[in-house]
Amino acid sequence: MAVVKNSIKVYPVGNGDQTLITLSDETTLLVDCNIREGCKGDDNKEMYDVHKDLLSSIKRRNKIPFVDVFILTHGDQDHCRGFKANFYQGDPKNYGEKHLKEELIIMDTMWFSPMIAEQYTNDDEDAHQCEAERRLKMHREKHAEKDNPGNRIKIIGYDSNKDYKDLNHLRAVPGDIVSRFNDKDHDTFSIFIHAPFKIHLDSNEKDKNSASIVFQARFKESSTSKDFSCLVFFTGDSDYTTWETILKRTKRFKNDVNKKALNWDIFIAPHHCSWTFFNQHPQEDNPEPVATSLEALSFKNKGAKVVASSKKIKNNTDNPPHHKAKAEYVKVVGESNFLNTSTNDMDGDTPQPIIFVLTPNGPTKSPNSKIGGALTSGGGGGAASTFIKQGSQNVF
Amino acid sequence: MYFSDDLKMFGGEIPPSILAAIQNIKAYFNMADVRVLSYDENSVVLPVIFKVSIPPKGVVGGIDISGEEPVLIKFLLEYYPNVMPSILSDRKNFPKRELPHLYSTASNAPAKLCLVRNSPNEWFANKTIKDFLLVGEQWFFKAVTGTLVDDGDEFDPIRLESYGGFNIYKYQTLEEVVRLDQRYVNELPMAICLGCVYKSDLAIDDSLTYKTISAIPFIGLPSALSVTKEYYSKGGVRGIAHPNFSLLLWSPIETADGSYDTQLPENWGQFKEMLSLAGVDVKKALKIYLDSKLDFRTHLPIIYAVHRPKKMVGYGGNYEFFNFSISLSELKGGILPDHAKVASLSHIEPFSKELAGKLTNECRDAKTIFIGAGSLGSKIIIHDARCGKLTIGAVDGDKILQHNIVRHALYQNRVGQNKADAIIAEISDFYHLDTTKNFKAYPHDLILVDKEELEKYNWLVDTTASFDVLNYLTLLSAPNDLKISRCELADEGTLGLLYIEGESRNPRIDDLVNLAYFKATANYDLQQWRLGDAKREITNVDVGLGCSSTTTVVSDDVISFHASVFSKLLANEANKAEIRKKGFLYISKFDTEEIPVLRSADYDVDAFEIYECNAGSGWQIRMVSGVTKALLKQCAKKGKRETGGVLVGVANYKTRIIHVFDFITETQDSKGTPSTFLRGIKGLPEAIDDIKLVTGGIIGYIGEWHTHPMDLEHLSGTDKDTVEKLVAINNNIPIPTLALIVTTTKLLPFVFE
Repeated sequence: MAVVKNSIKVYPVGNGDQTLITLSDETTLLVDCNIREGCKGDDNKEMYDVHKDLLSSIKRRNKIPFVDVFILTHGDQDHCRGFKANFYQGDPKNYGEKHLKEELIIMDTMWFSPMIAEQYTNDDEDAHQCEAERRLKMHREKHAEKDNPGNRIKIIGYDSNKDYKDLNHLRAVPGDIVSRFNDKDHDTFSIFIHAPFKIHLDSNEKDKNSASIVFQARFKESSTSKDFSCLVFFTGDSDYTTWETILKRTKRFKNDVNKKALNWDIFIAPHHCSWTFFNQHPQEDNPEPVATSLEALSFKNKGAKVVASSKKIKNNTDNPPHHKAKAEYVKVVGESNFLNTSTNDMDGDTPQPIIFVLTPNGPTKSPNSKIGGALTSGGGGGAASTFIKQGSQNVF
Repeated sequence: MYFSDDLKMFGGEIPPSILAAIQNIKAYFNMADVRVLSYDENSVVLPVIFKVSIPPKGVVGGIDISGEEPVLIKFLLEYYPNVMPSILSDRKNFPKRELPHLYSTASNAPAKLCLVRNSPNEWFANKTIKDFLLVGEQWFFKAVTGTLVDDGDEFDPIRLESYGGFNIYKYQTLEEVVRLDQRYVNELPMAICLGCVYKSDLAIDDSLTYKTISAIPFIGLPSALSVTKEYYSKGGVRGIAHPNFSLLLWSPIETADGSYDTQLPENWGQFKEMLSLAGVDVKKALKIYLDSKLDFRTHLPIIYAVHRPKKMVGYGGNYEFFNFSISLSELKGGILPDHAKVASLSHIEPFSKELAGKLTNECRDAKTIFIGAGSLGSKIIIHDARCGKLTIGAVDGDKILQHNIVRHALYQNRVGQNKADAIIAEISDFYHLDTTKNFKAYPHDLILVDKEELEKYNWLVDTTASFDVLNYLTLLSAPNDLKISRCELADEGTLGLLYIEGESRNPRIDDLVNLAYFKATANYDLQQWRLGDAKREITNVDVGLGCSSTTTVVSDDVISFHASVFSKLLANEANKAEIRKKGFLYISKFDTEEIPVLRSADYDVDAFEIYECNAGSGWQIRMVSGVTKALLKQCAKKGKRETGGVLVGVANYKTRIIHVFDFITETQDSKGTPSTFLRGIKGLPEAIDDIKLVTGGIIGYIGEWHTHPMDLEHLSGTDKDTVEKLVAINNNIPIPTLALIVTTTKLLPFVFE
């Protein structure tokens, strides 16, 4: 029997995204981050401490925590919240005791999309852009340390206003398959880039969501395996128009057949289970899903699962998440294979990450592994941080 | 199809501890009710269903496990929670042969899951039923994902839940014989090995310990036979080990066998059948053994090698060895009846080590029973015995394994023996001619020691460092004049802790152990221990063929240091003209880096203040001395205005005891009136977290206190509403909810779950 080590951890971050891919050789890829300050510590029982979990899930080099690759699908706040405060930005040689005390995470390699980065909306996105430009400058100037961990960068998609043609050797565009991560070639893991497309550059409605990086993570049991053991779609905040193009382009180049680039075992529902994957919002005015989105879902494999990284889905007009979107996904995968990060795995009131262990026979959800003890007392985050009303009479 | 179909509802009385566990099981599986079935005269089982997440393309390896696996949770009626429940598959067609981490069971018995390494009871002593069920759920998850074995490139051996002795040999030596097909005679895949049997195998039918040294080539047998004959011709019964011959067998079939056949033979007929399936003619092997006149003993040890598809976990070869001892007592005319007994043995790798030890020269007269004859216990026992103590009892259910030699007081020749038996035998040899000695071994767990036995002693020294034993001693109705103490090592062996109970068992042993945690808030050495303990990972050490053992890595000299200190201190205490009335906590620190540094601290501990909680809760509150007085003072100080705060301590779900070591008074943002109190939060979480941190997560928030200056002696409606809210919050941790009312004259604790 082979030991399964590849795993995917989808963090409960409300309406937002943060997913950690861990490969069998312990390579880590973090897709987006949404580290809310309020989640840290035990104070808020309704928020999982994703920061603490992330630090305990990634490797350390000389005590410094690091991820091999950080992928920002796009610059909306709910995909990069906490970037500035929790990730190290600057020359890795200058990482000091102060940074170690703050446990700042080094990104050995950044994946950077020039298209999405030029539309400033928040400080975290700006910090990401500044760090990317620092690295790009090093590569452009052929700095001796440009290929050191913490200075590495990969350009995803096409240029917008700025011209990075001289760095095309660092670039991957839709249709490409990437199998080198953090300066290491992999033969059992790869990523098929689907978006963003060049067409977005000319679009009048150019926005962050439609220009999201969309990719398919592809896992094999061994380098000689003919089939994939697991295919996972990371969809950012892509909408139905993006998917219309994804289908069109993928089929045109026959990548749906030759590369199985549209198949999936796990589908992270775009834009936190938004209706915009199925059609224009509001749903009431556009109640029918477009054919191309339904076709994209039809590429599911046996036992496939949809994950809504969103707040709890209610039967109201909220979007995202939209309950009609959930209903469409449930039609495709069934109720038991539709998972919501806010409600699926709970420890008391606290939502827990959804962890998929990738077996040779496909992904399966790991049970809760938190083993406690019989000898117990409370910490500061329990009753001690709650106002308690008592008294000898019933009135206060 | 299901074992539970054949079982009847249990009609007897279910102990309260199991009733409480049943509630937890119902909650875990979200069941309104669960059947309690009679399994045998000593145990009951509860049929439940584990939900298992199956990979989309099926179970890895194609093993027959479904998304809903029916199991039986089995409880021993008399011994729960000291003995961990077990999880049995309810399916009669459970794929036993295809899965590792199952105990060896009869073919018609349910598959029994091997859930944890080392002693399950010790693991469970500090865990809840929920933890136990989580581990069961994880077992099935690992089974369907093909990860039951830690290293997928190696083959996990079959688990032996019980065995009737040991065979000590170097795996590599015998593996080479099998791998190179070094046969004694060409027609049979068999080797004859020379070895010995420890003690006499004439009177006993099991618990034999063999040593197998090496295979003998055909031409070498006559000389080995000659030496052996000479030994026996001179009597050959007084030695510790007697030479014997054993057989090593393997299959001529080259195909590797990856099945987990968890049923091992119990008699000669089954043994023959098992080996014949592998193409081995064991009757012919026995004939060669008898024809060669190798049957000097009443038992024939046989090692059977099974070719596995991968390298064995912890070993350098692909062969798994199964070890047996065949009883030859009914052998007649060269024929052994099918019902002749076959015992399974456990393999032990041999270990050699020079003898070491120092004599002290002091006389000690206390009558002492030691719980645990492991590394620490055995050394103190030896110290005492060498100083002239002639009444010693030793309680230990474990056997000495080769890795114990690293630091146990005994030596290689005791490997395979029960620890209590071995240490008592050893010290009995010290006083071979003294007829006044009163040494007694209790070769089993403490729970099986008759209470009347304890009346023979005036000191009980627990050296096990076991939570299970601690819980047992906590609830034990001990003889009045038995002084109970406990010593243990912590902080990677650099810290020694000795606890001695006070008069009438107050402070009791659990009071003192938890007090040591709390003292970490003020004592540097204790604080370093607790901080380190919170981060520490248990080290896995491979031993023998079987589950790995988790054990603390400490050298013999460090343990000897602590054993010497404990031994001396206990002797001094026992020799005092007047027995100490207060409890006693002693700490010895042995910093072993570079130039060793020694320091110590000790505390006299007054009797704890004990409160039984509201009727039916079953919880008891034990407060460190002075808390009651200080709380009453708070009530008096605030006059008619109510005040309150939080309690600092720890709860133990197993003993249902809450220890309170301190309290925090009202925060700045609290509000009190003559009839109400709103407890604020300013600075409180930080204060609690500070305590949690330095006590390694053990001591923390444990309840609320507030005053009723008008002397209302029950919970008000407001209090009850608050309790309901607190129960919801505290269940997340989990801790019981303690609400302590302080009137002008008394404390009234209420506990809810």
